[in-house]
Amino acid sequence: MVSVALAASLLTALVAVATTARTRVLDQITHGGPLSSISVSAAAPSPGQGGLDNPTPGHAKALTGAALAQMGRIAHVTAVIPVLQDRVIVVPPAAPPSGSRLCLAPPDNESCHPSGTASPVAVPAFDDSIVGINLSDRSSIPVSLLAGTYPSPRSTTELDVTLSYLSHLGLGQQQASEIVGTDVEIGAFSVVARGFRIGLRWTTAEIVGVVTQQAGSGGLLTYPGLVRADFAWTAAGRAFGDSDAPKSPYVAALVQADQLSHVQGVRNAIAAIGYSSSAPQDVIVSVEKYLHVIEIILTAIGAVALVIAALGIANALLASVRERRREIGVMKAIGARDFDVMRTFLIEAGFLGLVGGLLGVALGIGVFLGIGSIANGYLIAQGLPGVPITLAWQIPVGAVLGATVISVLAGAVPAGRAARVAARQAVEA
Amino acid sequence: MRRAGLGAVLGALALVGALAGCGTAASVSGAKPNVTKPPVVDVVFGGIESSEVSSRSAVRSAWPKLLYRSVLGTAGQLYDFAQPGQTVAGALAEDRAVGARLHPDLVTIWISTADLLNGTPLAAYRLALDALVASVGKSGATVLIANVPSFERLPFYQACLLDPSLCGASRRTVPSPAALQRAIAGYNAVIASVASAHKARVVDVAAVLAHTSGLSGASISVLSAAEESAVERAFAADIPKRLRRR
Repeated sequence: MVSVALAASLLTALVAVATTARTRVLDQITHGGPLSSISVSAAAPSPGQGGLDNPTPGHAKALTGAALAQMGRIAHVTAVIPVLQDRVIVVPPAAPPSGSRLCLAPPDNESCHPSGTASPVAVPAFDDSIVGINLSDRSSIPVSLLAGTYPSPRSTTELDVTLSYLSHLGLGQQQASEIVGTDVEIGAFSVVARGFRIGLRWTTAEIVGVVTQQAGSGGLLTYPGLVRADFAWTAAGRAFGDSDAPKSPYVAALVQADQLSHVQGVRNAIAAIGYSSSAPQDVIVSVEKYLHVIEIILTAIGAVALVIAALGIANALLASVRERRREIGVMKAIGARDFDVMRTFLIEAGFLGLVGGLLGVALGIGVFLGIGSIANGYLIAQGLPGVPITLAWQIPVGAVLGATVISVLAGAVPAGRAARVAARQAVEA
Repeated sequence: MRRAGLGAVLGALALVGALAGCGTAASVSGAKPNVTKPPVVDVVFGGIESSEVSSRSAVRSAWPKLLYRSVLGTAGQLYDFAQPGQTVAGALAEDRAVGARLHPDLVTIWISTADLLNGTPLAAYRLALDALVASVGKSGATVLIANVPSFERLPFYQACLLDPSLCGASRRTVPSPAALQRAIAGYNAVIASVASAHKARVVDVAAVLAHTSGLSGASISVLSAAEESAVERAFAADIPKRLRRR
C-alpha cells in the first residue's frame, strides 16, 4: 500500500506541476489572455506582412464601432472586446504611502539619504493614460491581478493600477497592497473654446487592485464607463479646433477566435476590413508541442512508478496466497466456489489500491501546493505575476481510480492462483 | 464483513471529495456590489484666483480642488474652467455654454482680478456676471460667488503697476492703489446685487483673506497654501448639506 501511495503521490504531483507550468508558460506568451486571442490595432495593415505573428502596423487608422461590429460578424469569431483609452493627468494622494522610497531630496537634488532621516515629499502629479475594458470576462483579456481585486462591474469610481503607478509613488511590487483602498484623482482635458481654452474634468476613483495588463498602454485600468466619459470630454475639443483630439475612444480590440487553428483566417478577414492585427499563434503552436512532450514524459514517470507499485502488490498478494493456502482450502471445503475466492483477493487488491491512491493523492497535493508556493515566491520576487495554484479535479480522481484499477489488475494473477487451489491439497498442506 | 467493506468505500469516496475540494485554489475576491448614485457635478468659473493651470502643483492644491476633495471626492465630478487672465465676459463667452450643458449641481465663481486690471467698467461687469449666473443657475444649481479681496499689496499687482504686460493688461487700464480700492468696493456691490437677484450665495473671501497674511503670495500664484485652504473652507461653509458627500 505504501508503494501505491508513493506512486500515486508522484503521479499527482508531476501531472499537477506539469499542467500548472503549461498554463504559466502559455499565460506568459498570451499575457493572461486566451490562446486564440487576436490583438487588433488602430492602424491599417502593413502590406506584405501577412502571416507574421507580430507585424509592424501600417499608418494610424481610427478604430470605429462599425469596424468592431464588422469584426464580430467574421466566421469563427466568438468575441470582440474593445479597448478604450484616454490621456489624463493623474494626481495620487499627497503623502506617499508607508514603505515609499520617495522622500525629501536634499538641496543638491541627490536621492533620499539611506539613513531615512529625510522627510517625505508630496507625490507629484503625472501624465498617463487610463484604459477601459470590460473586465467581466477576465479569461478573455490579457490582465493578471497582483494585489487587491478588480473594479466592480460598470463602476466609474473604482480602478486598478499597474506597476508603473507604483513606481511613481516610489513603491515596488512587494508593496502593492499599500495603495489598495487609496483614492486617485484623474483629470481629462478638453479645449472648450477657440484659442485653445482648456477645461479640466476631474473625477476621483478608489484604487481596488494592482494588475499587470497588456490590453492598452496606460497605468490605470477600469471598466469602459469612466474612460468613455473622459474621452467624450476630450474629443469635444475638436469642435473648438483641437485637431489632436482623438476621433475614436478605441485604441485596440481583442478579437477571440473559437480555436487556435482559425486564428490566421480571422486575421486575414480583419486585414480585409482594413486593420492590422497580431497574435502569437505560431509561437503558441510550437510551445504547445514542446509542453506536450514534457507532459507525456512526466506522466510516464508517474505511470511507471504506478506499474512498479502494482508489481509490488502482485508480489505481496502471491505471497499472501502461499501463506493462506490452508485458509483457502477451508473456504473451499465449506462450500466456497473458485469465483468467491478470486473475488476476495481482487477486493483486497482493489482496497489496497484505493486506500494507497487516496493517501498518495493527499500527499501529492501537499507536494504540489508546496512547490506552487515556492514557485510563486520566486516569481513575485522577480517582479512577475504568480501562478494560480489550482488543481483540476480530474487529476486526483484519475490518480485514485488509476491506482485502484491497476491494483485490481495486478491482483488478478494471484487471485486466479488462489481460485485454482484444490481444497483437499490445500488443507493437507 | 460486507458492511465494513461498504463503509471503507464510502469513507474513501468522502476523502476523494475532500481532497478534490482542497485542491482548488482560493481565487481573487469577488466584486463588491456597485451602488451607483449620480455624481454631483461641480463647475468652476475663475481667473487666476482659482486657476489650476498656472502651476503644476496647483492640480493638487488650488482651492477648487481642495473643495472638491473635501466635500465630494469619488461622489463628484469637477469641471474646472478657471485660467489666469479670465474675465467675467470671457467666461460668459467661452465657458458658459459648455458649463451650462453639464447641468451642474454646484457652481463656484471667483473672477475679478483680470477685470480689475483691465479696467472693466462696473456696468459691463454687472451685465456679464448677471448673464453668467442666470445661465448656469437655470438647472437649479447652487451658485456660490466669491467677492473681491483687497490685493493692492500683492507682488503680482505691484509688478503689474510697473509692467502691465506681466499681467496681460495695458498701462492705461491698471488702476492705481486708490482707484483699485474704489473699484473693489464697486465690484463687491455688484456681486452682492447679482447674487441676491439670482438667489446665489456670496462667499466672503475678502473677510477670510483679511485675517490671513493678506494675499501675500510672492509669485504670480496669487494665493499661498494657507490662503487656498482658507478660501476652500469659506466655500465649503456655504455648500448645502444635500450636496455634501463627505
